[in-house]
Amino acid sequence: MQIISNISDIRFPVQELNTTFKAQIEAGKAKSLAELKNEEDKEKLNKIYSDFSNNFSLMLKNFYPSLFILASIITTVINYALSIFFFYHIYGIKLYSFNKYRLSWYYGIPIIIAIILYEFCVINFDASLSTPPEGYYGTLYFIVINIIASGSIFFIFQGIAVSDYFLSSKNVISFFRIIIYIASFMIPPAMAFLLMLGIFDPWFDFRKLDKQEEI
Amino acid sequence: MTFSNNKELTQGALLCALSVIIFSCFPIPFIGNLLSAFSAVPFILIAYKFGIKFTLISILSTSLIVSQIFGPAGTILFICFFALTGGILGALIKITKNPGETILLASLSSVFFFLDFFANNIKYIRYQIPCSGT
Repeated sequence: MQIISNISDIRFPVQELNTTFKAQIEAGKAKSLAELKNEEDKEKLNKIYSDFSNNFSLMLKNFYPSLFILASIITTVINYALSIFFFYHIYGIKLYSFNKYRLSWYYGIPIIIAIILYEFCVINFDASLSTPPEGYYGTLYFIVINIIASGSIFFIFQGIAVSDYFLSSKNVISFFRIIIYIASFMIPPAMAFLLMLGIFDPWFDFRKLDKQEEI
Repeated sequence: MTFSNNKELTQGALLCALSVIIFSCFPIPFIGNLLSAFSAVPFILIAYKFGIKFTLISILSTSLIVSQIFGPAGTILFICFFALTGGILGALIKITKNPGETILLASLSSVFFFLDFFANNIKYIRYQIPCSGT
């Protein structure tokens, strides 16, 4: 259990990463401050930078495994989706169609358990980002939020697949579809909508894939 | 390995150059990160068409060019996140037809490479990362 409670200290040098990114932020701050002349503006900018730096450190401390997992999954999926286009137009090979992507319902079980455990942590401790808990419950909180963060990306992709199915059935040009998906990744409410769409798809079967399989 | 066909060599070189150009979009504000993510696509095509040995040579030669532009930190980022991931993705597309397996294995390899190279060496390359204030 001692090993598990120190899981955040194993191998990965978060401290080093944190120092590196803080150095980046400090460099940006020094450059911006040098351009300002008003003292009030300088104070405001100083506060903005220090808040950003603190929030970034806490985020890195809590989410660092899922940050790398998410980055690698998103990069891989983007490249796979692009290669579908290139393989078809260069080699004439039809890869797996993205708009038929669907997760089985049991993939949601770890996420649901993680959400229940997260609620347990939040009820018993003040498990917010500003005050991360410590000890065994802190470790549980750390594992749970990383499972939620890295697991929900698969459901977001499922939500994108559902919306892609509907947009392609309306004959929307692929370029505009890609722009819509990129924009939806930048707008949090749109991402939440895609997540909900992905989670409810196995039950509601928006694309009628079950009927197609039966045929 | 022999290059019997000059066409293959030229295609590979052009794809490598394309990858370097795409990765060079990295410093562009807002869309630079997204555009640079596409730099793995040429390696997917190389790995699918020419095989693993040719891909490894391509990655080596491309990373030499990238290191001249972005330094060691940018090169490690390029190799771990884009070049090797693209190569593995292309090889897996050729081997297996299951997209889930392909994406999962390529993502895992990307995380492994990143943790292994970048995280263990970040303290040595910290000052090589281009700072906006310097």
